[in-house]
Amino acid sequence: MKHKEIIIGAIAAIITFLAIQGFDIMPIIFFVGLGGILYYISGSKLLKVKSFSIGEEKKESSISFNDIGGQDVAKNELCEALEFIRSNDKLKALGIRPLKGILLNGPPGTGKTLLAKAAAQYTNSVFLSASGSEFVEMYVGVGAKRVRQLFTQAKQSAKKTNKHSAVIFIDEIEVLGGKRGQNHSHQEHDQTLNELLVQMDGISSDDDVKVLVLGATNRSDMLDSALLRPGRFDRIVKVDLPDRKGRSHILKLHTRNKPLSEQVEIEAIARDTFGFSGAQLESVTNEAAILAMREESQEISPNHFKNAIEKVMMGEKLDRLPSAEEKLRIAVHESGHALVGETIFPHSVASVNIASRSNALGYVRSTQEDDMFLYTYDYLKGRIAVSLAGALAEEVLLKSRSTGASSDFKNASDIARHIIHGGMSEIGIISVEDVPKNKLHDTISSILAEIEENTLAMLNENIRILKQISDELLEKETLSGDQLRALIKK
Amino acid sequence: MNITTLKLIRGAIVFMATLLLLYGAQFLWQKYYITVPLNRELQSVEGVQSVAVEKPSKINEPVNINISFNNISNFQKTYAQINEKSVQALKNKTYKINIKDNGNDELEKLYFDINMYVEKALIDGSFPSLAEKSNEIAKHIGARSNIFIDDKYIYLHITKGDKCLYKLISRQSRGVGELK
Repeated sequence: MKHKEIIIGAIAAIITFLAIQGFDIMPIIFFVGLGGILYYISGSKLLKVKSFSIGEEKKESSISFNDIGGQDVAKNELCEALEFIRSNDKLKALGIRPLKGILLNGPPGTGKTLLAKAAAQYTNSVFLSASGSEFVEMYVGVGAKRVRQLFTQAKQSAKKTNKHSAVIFIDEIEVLGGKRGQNHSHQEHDQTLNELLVQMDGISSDDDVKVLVLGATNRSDMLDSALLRPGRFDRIVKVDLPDRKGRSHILKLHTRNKPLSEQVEIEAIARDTFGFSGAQLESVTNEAAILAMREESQEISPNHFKNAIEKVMMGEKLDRLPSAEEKLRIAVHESGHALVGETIFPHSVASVNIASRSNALGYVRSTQEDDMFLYTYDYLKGRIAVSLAGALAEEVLLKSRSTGASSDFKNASDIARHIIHGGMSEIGIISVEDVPKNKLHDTISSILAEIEENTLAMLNENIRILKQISDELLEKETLSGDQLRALIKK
Repeated sequence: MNITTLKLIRGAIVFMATLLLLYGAQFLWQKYYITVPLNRELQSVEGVQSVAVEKPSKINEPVNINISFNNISNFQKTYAQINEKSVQALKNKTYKINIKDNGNDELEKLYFDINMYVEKALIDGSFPSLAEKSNEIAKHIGARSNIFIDDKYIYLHITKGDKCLYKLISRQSRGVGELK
């Protein structure tokens, strides 16, 4: 309660006045005291009864679609859907049924929540957000009650603020909208989903307040089919990882308020961050700024961005120092990756590091000129060769292998499996489910063995360069792509 | 100044302000709801010389109406009018009428002498003889006694020269004055 002291002061004065006037104030004191005790207890954790209400109403959202980068397709799709709320009269004239729900589907950190907020701003609607897990409760019937309350609250809030539409955003909707009948313990989960379906069915264009449900999930495969049918979630908007143009836009948005040095090329950073989500890109710009601050630099330089990308990708640098022997092995291993990588895919290596980070002892960071969505047989073979090169380099220079290559092998096996599934292996086009395990194993082994042989030959041919790279790496800990290329050219 | 001190000061200011507000409201209410209308009404009664209304210090205490008379011929009639006007002015508020007189020891003694007959009359209902006896006793000292009776009170008005004594004797509870 705000300004408690004012209420207490006023009550004390009234009681004093009544006492002086000769009233019997004992009953008043008793009830006021009782009220105070109850208020205190309810405020403390003793009687903290969890409210059954749900849905947090957000104040005017200041995020617009212009503030969201890299999701042009999703934005266009969503904007088009939202036009139905904005121009309701046109809809009625053409007899169009309003959209009841839009499902935003995509990996984590791609800006689904931001899109929902922008949608609320775009439609000048009341925005209520809830998470799927908020509907889950140990009490039976609470989930369904919360769904009802959420819709009622949305309508009431819109009426209160003189708005004609409300956007309900349910994050992680797969918790609430998972397939029915899978939960055998009780039907609470199913009841909650049923209530959501009923509430969404109840939305019509004649309502005073138009309610649009926006759901966000990264597991649309888990959703109940009733939820996905037209009339519930009418549109499914794919919010995917941003492409290079999108990444560049996102980076520009996040560096708007940051002092960048003139050498910083947003396009180059966008190229280096293939596979990054919007959230990761935001983290990169933030980490770069933190690094600049640590160095007491007035501007953020390309080097800060480079380190920030590595930090976001590989984790924080560790203080743990490997022994000299281990360090040599790591240097040789990474040199192998770098040499083969640069030989097969020229200009692909961005940096080689043997400084341990939380996710790896050493690593080679690769970039590519353009985003790739299709891979050829030769490209995949090249990737396998790069993966195997670490362990093979150890064998060539140190005459033995180590456990450090296990994740490389797994990666190589996965790529080989892709080759087989893509019908590019010696066994031709196959049915993935029907191919026998040993056949699969034999084919993977033969692919890996062939590439291993070629890679080993390549490394033996370039053993001098390999040695040079590992020596240089041992000395400097980090080699940039250009330094590596200069060594190879020698 | 930390937040707790600030809150304490704010609470104290609210306390004082509320008290001030309540007492101010009480003062205005007493003045314009009790004193002024009551004075106006009672001053209009014939035979009333002065009226002094004592504002009660507590809200549920009766209003004390101190009243003095000019020469009145009918004590009962005047008292009835005062009662009526008081009820009109005060509505449901309780009040107490105190009649001020200028009676001296001689008149007081005379009242005590008459009082025996009053008590007797209250017991056996011999009110005619009470009037006779009181006149007789009063004449002894050159005074005049007027007795009026209704179902509630015995109104005794004794005068000698410019001195007057008014006594109101309850026929039920013996209290002097009326509390409504």
